[in-house]
Parts: sequence; C-alpha cells; structure tokens
Amino acid sequence: MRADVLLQVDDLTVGFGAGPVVKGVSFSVEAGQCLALVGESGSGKSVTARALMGLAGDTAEVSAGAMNLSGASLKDLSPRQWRSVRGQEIGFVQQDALVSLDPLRTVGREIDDALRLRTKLSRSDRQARVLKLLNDVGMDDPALRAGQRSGELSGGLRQRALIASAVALNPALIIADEPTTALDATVQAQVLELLESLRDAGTGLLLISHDLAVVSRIAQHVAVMSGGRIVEQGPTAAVLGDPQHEYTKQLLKAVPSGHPRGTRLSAEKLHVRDRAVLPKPLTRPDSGPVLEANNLTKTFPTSNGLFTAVDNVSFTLAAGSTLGLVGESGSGKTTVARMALGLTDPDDGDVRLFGEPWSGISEKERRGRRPLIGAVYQDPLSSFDPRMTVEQILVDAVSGGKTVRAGAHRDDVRRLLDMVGLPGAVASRGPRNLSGGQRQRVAIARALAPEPRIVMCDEPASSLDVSIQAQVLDLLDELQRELGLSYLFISHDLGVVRHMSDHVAVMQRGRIVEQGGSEQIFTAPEHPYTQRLLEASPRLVLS
Amino acid sequence: MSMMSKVRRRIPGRTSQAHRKVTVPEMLAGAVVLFLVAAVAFPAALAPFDPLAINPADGFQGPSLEHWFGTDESGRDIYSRVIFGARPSLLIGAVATAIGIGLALVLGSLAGLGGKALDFGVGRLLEVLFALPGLLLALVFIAIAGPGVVTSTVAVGLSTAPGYARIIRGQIIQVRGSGMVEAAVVLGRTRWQIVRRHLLPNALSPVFVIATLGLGQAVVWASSLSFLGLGEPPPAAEWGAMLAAGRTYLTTAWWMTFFPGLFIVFTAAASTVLGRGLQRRMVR
Repeated sequence: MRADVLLQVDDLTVGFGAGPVVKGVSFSVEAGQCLALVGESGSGKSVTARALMGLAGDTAEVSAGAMNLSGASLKDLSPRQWRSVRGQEIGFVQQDALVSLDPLRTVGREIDDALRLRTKLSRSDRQARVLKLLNDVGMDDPALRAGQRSGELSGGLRQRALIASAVALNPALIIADEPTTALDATVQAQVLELLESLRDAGTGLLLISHDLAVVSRIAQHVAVMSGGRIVEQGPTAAVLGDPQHEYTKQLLKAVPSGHPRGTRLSAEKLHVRDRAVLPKPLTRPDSGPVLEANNLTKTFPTSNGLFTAVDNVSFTLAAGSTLGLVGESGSGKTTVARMALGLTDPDDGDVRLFGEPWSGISEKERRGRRPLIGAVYQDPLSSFDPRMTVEQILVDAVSGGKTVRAGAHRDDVRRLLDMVGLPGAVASRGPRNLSGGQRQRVAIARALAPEPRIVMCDEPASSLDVSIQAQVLDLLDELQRELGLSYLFISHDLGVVRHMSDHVAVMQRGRIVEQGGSEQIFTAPEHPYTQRLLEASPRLVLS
Repeated sequence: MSMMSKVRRRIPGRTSQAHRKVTVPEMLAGAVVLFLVAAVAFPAALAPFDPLAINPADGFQGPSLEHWFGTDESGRDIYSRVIFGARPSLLIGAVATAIGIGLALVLGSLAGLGGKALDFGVGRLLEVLFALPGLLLALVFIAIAGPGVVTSTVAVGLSTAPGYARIIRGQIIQVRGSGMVEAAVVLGRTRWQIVRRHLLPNALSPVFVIATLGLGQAVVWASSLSFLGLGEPPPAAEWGAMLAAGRTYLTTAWWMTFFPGLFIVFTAAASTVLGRGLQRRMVR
C-alpha cells in the first residue's frame, strides 16, 4: 500500500437479505485526489458510499477484504466508533441540503454542533471557527448567514452550508453524494469550484455522481458502476476519452451536449411499429406560427410588493419546430409555460393559438381547443391520478373525460402505448409500479391521446438517469418527426435544450435576454448572461 | 433522506411486504370483528338464552358454566344480552359515523370548492363546533331535540362531523392544487368532471380509513349517551344502557357492568387497530 493512499477498499460486498447490491467492489482514494463513482440509479454507488460511513442500515450485510481509512480498518466498528469516524475522519455531503439540514436550527448552530461535540474549543473560539468556515465556503456575509435557517437560504447557499458543516472538523476524506444535482448551472459551477479547492488543499474526495460532465471536471479517477460492480476504472481522461466497456460507451453516448440535433442518443432503436395505425398528421396551417406570445407580463403579489415573474416576453413557435426555453430556477420559465397552456392569464400582452386569441378568454371558450396543446411535466407521477391504472389514464385521455364502459378504447390504448415504445402489459399497472422512464412515456402517450399539434414539455427528462433521459429525448424527437408536432421545450439543462431545439430563448429574471437559432445561441452567444450560462454549464472536458 | 428511501426501496421485505404483513394484534382485532359481525347477524345462534326473559329466582348470579357472564337483577343472562346488544350498539355507532361523514362531506366540499367566502364561513362554523367537546355538543343537541335512539344517533353523528369536515376540506385543497388536476385542465376537462373523477375520490379515500378509527369512538359515545339514559330505554339490551342498569349494583354484582363494558372496549380497540393498519398501508 502506498503511503498517500487515504481510503483503500477491497472486495466490498453489501447485501440486504436477498442477494448483494454491491458485489465485490475495490477502489482507493488518495489524499488531494478525487475518485468519482459513476453510475445510474440502482447501480449501487450510493450504497457503497453509505457502507463506508457505517450508514448502510441495520439490515445490511457488509463484508470486505479490506476497508482502511488512513491505515486504520473500518471493518466491524461499533456504532460508537462509527460516530467518531463520521465527521472527524469522513465528511459527508448529501444531495439535498434542504432535508439534510435541520429546518428549525440556524446554520451556525448546525455547524457549531460538530465542534461542540468533538473539540475542546471555547464558545467564542467555536463562533470564530464557524464564521471562518462559512467564509471559506464562499458565503458572502458569514455573520448574517450563521443566524439564518436552511429554509431562508437559496439552494446554492444551503449546499455551501452543508459542505461547511462537513469540513468543520477537517476530515481527511469527503464523500459527496450527488452534491450538485439539484442546482442551477451557475450555482453548480460555484459548488464544484469549492469542492475542487478542498481537494487541492489535500482532502481526499469520493464523488458519487451520474453526471459525466461534472465528473470530467473534477475527478482524476473514475470508477464506473453498473449492477453493483465496477465495470471499468482508471484515470478520468482514459476512461471517458477511450472507454473500453460497453456500458461506459453507452453512458457517454447518452450525454446530449455535443451531439447535434437529430442524432440518436440511446442505443436502443425505438420502433414505431406500423405507420398505418398512427394518427394522421392534421393539415398544417400554411407556415403560420402555431403559438405566439406577445409582450407577456405577469406579476404576483408578495409581502414586499409586486414580483414581476414574467416581463415583456414575446416569442413565436413555428409549425413542426421546437422552441427551447432556457433559464435557471426562478427565471419565469414555468410561468410562461402556464400562460402558453392557458392555465394563467397574463396581466399584459396576449397569447395566440393558431392565430386566434388563447389568453383573456373564458375557460369555456378555451376548452374546445384544448386538444390542440398537450403537456408533459417533469414529475409525471404527480400528474397522474394515483387511483387509476395506465389503461384508465389513457382511456380517460382518449375519451375526452366521458364515462365509458370497461374495455372501451382498448385499441387506442394499445396504439398509444405502442407509439411510445411500451409493452401492452403495462396497461394494467398503476403508474407507481412503473420506472421513471416508463412513467414519462405514459405521460407522453397521454399528452398525445387527443392528437395535439403542440406539446409543452416542462423539464421532461430532468429527473431521469442519463441513459433513460436519452431514450425519452429520442422518443420525443422521433414523435415530432412522425407527427409533425411543435414543441415548446423548457429546461435548465443547456445540453438538452441544444439537442432538442431549432430556436432558443434564454430567460433571466422574467425577461428573454436573447433568442435566436439554436446553433447561433450556443456557438456565438451575444448577451453576457447567455455567455455566463454557457460557461458554467458542465461539459465533458477531457484534458 | 431521498437516498435512504431509494436504498430502502431496494431492500426486499423491508417496506412493501413488511408493511402488508398482518400483525398479531390485527389478527386478534379481525377475530373480534368477525365475532361481532356474527353477533349482529345471528344473535340467536350465539346466545343460549332469551335476552329479555325474566327469572327473578336466578337474579344476581355470578359467572358460571351456565351463565358465562352471570345474570342481572331480574335473572336475565348477561352473555345473551351482550350478544343481542351488539346490534343496537354497533348500529348506532355505524349510523352515527355515516351521518357524521355525510354532513362533513357537504361542509368540507363547500369549504374546499366553494370559494373564499364559503371557506371562511364554514371554517368559522367548524371552529365554533370544535370549541365544544364532542360529547357536550351531543348533549346540547339532545337537550333541544329530546332523548331517544334516533336523536342520540344523530347527536353523535353531529358531534363527529366537524373533525371529518376539516380532513375532507384539507384533502380537497391538497388535491385541488396537485399536478393531476392541472393535467386534467390541460386535457380540457370541465370543473364538474374533475371534481367527480379526481377530487372527490382522492379526497375521500383517506377519510374512510379514519372513519374506521372513528367508528369505535362513536360506539363509545353512543353507549355513553345510553348510560346517561338518553338513548335506548330499558330493558333493551344495549351496552350503554346495561352499564347504566348495573351501576347501582357495582359493589355486589360487578359482572353486570364489567362484561358490557369489556365489549365496548373490545369494539373500540378492534376498530382502532384495524383502522391504524389500514392507514399504515394507505400511506405506502
């Protein structure tokens, strides 16, 4: 064993009664280096991380040839010994800082806890240390932040606070489980910088991530996990630049950024079996825009006056094309989407659907034309009635909400499932018993049931694993070509938007700061915000 | 947290199956309910004696092989009376719960669907009702409407309604703002279609689980009213009325109050255990 090896894991196996979830995994992390465990949900990477902290759970059976941290074994520790390892030797940064921090306690107290229990510092020394830690993680006003609760902080600040509490005791190793997954691109870049600086200061970093772009930026070594095993590991540039294992190749291919529009992302060929059973494309109105938004403005009352969520936004969606709407959270994308769907009326400006007014009219007037525009949401599960099976959901969508006898529209259900590449057997199941990708396919099938001309896609693939995301994006692309659909495509992920869109509008604080052809925006952005966004967005960089 | 749940989902036998497994208390509760249902349906098959037949010579006998639960002051068999008492006692509880939920459904739907003004009005009305303890509310109603089986049933129903109404209102408001309702609007559904198809079914399903819990409470309250002489008049074999009749002889003939009381406790406990079990399974 080399002297600078911080964490050495040999043949780690973790099981929960019915067969192992992690099967004989070996890797090592050196001081001042970052090892990334990459894989999709269910690959065993999070269980591996938790086993290293003694948090795999009471029912877990953990066995390993060796599990050494700084030369001391982590095998068969008592709960008490684990407690002193956690925090002191290993810092843990979780994905969701909102649930990891106690909402009722201030950030300062949260960090102070670790110091109070594990050091002999005086109260004022601890106070000073808390402020220094908050300053070190890049908080703008440490004294103010220390007095705030997690709910009062933005996502990026929360993640920093969590990192500050993880490094409070100067642990030699930090385990970060998807530390930036829920964050906007620019915030993500800042958090990654912070982790990078900790790594450069000599801390070992074990990064768990599904995002290859993030990994390529900060990890020196990569271990790709699939089905509980490490299928490939080595230096980042070698593994990602010249992947040997089939699974690694698939993962890399599924990353949307860098693949021009129209290229397939998933390996699996989606079949649209029989063209004859597809709904025939309706006649398109001659080249006119299908959806127009003119000078939309929407304000919401808040405790300190009116908040302008959408400010003078105009765009047009051309028939058969995709308009991508990019922006970070809070930029007003979703409010624009709701106005486009006729769920909220703008305070000012108007929306026109096929040239006819779509905003400022009564729901009764709108209802007849609602079939023209469908919607696919980020979280399909919450958009389904939990009491209904897939068949009932689709029958409801096909029948226009009329009560029909059982077994009616069976052919339509079959056709819709076929269209989105799902087997007919799915029909009898509830959405809860489907995988994330299957659910989103059902949501797409439901949106297509009334034969819409426009589909509003609000982050349709953001909560999915990269290979599943690739399949869903491919499916949307294929359906657009087959059916001549127009998409209003909303996402915070620049790579996805670039891959899907013909035109792009960039939103910041309720305004569209720049719009134009997709390639032009992504290759020659003019507005400083677009440039910043592009810079911050993680790309697969192989040095 | 999110990771924990992810990890858990993959552990077989931990949540999904383990939560569905029937526990020992649940089996016992199920047995009690089966017995009670049998008593309601075929009391004559279970009871060895006529519940109303008087035999003063056999009065005040303690529990024996012939009279399992003893006899009362007129020599009536307590066991037979308890069996025959299941029907009126449980009927009052069930009907009262149904009245409570029916009333709550109206109030809760008005508050949840009728707009701000109605929500405010119903909300204040419920607060006034909440300010009075349930049993007191029932007593006030009986004071106005007069004693009797029907009024005491309605009284219990009335006093349980505010609790259910709040739950229904909350459920409706929660479902109203959910993605599924928005998705239905986008599909072009009318308000009425959404209410009928999504709002009410989803808002009501948890209420039925809670009603199982409430049933036991309603039986206890109905018995309390009978005990106070406001329900079934004697010599009817109703559990609460039996308690009332036995209380004079509590020091000499404990069995006259003990066994009817025991059955009230069994009923309440069994419905509570089953209700909790249902609740646990509903919340995944």
